[in-house]
Amino acid sequence: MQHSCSRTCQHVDETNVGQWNLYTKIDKYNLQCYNEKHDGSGKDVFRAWDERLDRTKVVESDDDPELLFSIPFNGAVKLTGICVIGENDPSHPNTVKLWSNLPEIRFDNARGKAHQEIPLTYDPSGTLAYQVNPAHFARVTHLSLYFPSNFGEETTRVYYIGLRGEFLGEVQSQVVIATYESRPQLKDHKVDDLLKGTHEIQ
Amino acid sequence: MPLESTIICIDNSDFMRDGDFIPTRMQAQQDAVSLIFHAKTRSNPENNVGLLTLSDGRVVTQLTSDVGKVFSKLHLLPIEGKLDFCKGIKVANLALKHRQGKNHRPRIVVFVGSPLEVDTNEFTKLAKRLKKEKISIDIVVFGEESSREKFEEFITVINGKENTNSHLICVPSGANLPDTLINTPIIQSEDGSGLPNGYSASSFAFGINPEDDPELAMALRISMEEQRRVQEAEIGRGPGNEGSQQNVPQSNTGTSSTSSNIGTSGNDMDVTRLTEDEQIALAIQMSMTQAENTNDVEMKEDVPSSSNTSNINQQTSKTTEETQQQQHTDTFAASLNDPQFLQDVLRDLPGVDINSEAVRAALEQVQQQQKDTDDTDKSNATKKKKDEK
Repeated sequence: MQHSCSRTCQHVDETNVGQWNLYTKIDKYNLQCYNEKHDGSGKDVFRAWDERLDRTKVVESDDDPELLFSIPFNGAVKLTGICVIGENDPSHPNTVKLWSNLPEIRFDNARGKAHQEIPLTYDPSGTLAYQVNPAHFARVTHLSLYFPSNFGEETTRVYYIGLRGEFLGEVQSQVVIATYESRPQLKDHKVDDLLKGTHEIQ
Repeated sequence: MPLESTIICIDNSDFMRDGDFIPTRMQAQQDAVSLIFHAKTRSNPENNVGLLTLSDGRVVTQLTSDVGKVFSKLHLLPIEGKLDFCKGIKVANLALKHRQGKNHRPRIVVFVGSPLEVDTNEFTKLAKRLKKEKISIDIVVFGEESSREKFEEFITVINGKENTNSHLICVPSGANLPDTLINTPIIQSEDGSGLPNGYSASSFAFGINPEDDPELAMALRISMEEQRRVQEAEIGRGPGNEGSQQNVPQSNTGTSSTSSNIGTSGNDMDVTRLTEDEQIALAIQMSMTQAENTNDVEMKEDVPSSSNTSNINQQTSKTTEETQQQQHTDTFAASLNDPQFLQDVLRDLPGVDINSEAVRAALEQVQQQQKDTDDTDKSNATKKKKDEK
């Protein structure tokens, strides 16, 4: 979208704000950041677009440059773009690998092929938004982000991760099988072992 | 109360046959495992627990919240092999990775009761890997002091700078393993006790929480002390009279087994305060009383016992006891009464000074009893000969 400032101006298009609010649909309680140096700092990097330049909230990796985010959502989302803000020095990550709907991704199975792999460049102010391939990311309930390396530092520092897309709606997490009975009959409920453990009434 | 999936790793190496935890280390572990299982399930019914053996790294039970599945396998565990810590932890890691509850916090509880043989580098790498995967670990070291520093380092690496989710608990020999664990962070969650007040099993003495009913707890404790005093008085009176004397308290209380149990458990509390030599002497005396108790119990089944003692009972029991003793000269009880045998055994035991007072006193008592029985045997034999003539 065009704006009427001079060609050298740096300010970001405000209309983008609405689309970068997928962070509100993240299940923050179950969000996990692996190999973070300070427990809980991984959750802080997912915040509002307006707060993306806040330098007080940072996640740093512990001992080696790897960082892995396991992001469950409160429903299904369509992911179209990603923005990563790091430091303007070699601690900035140089690659990000994305997987959708694979909550078991950890460091050992993250070394293989990802649903999408994006090479990153220095972005200290959040001006770059990378396009996400719609093939795998049309309906995402769980997103895994893996930063395997950076530009040369021992540890990786990330200030902000922005996710652009649309919220498709809530999903039922489990398949429910419901049987309706007007009167329960014992012969309809065969139990192999009646002595299944102890049952306590309190 | 966070959702947790816990894998409990049990040490089933040959060191678990040791009896320094009553009755054996393996039994103490089993009790502790059941305690942990109940604590986890109570704090959140959706928590899962699995079982794994450390000697071969075998998953005995997959992560489940069903108590029956865990307990049925728990009591059938074989005691074999040597502890392989790293392999066990790696397998536990794998089991947790494939857990059904993806949102559960993974946790490993390890029981270690045998010496640790591990490559330091591999050990530290393992700790770092667990830290990266955010797996908390609780290590319970019992009966072993040699590997304590290594485990402390392990826990420090896993905890990192600020974390306190992983713990190391050391339980000394002779302590009660489940009771010690109750007060540790393994059972206690951060917001209070993981166990409700009414929880019994082997966790509280007398099976009743002192907080619930302090008067009852006090009454039980006093009666136990009294029983213990009576027992000790009898032991002190000498083994010769013990046969008849034992009948008195046993028939008074009505249940011989419970009185002897309470007596022995009461004695256990004092045992640790005695010196080694006195412990040996006490052990000898207790085993002698037990040997005679078994004779008495056998008699009890033949003779219909009334709740009150009577002279007839005493006399008949005395004579039958003597005849039984004559018949059982080849049994273990007789060998125990043999002072020479006892001396040989004691000499081989490490840490026992055979010339110390307490041991000598005990041996003299045994010799005295042997003399008494020999004399009665001789007098009976001469009596029989006279009758035959």
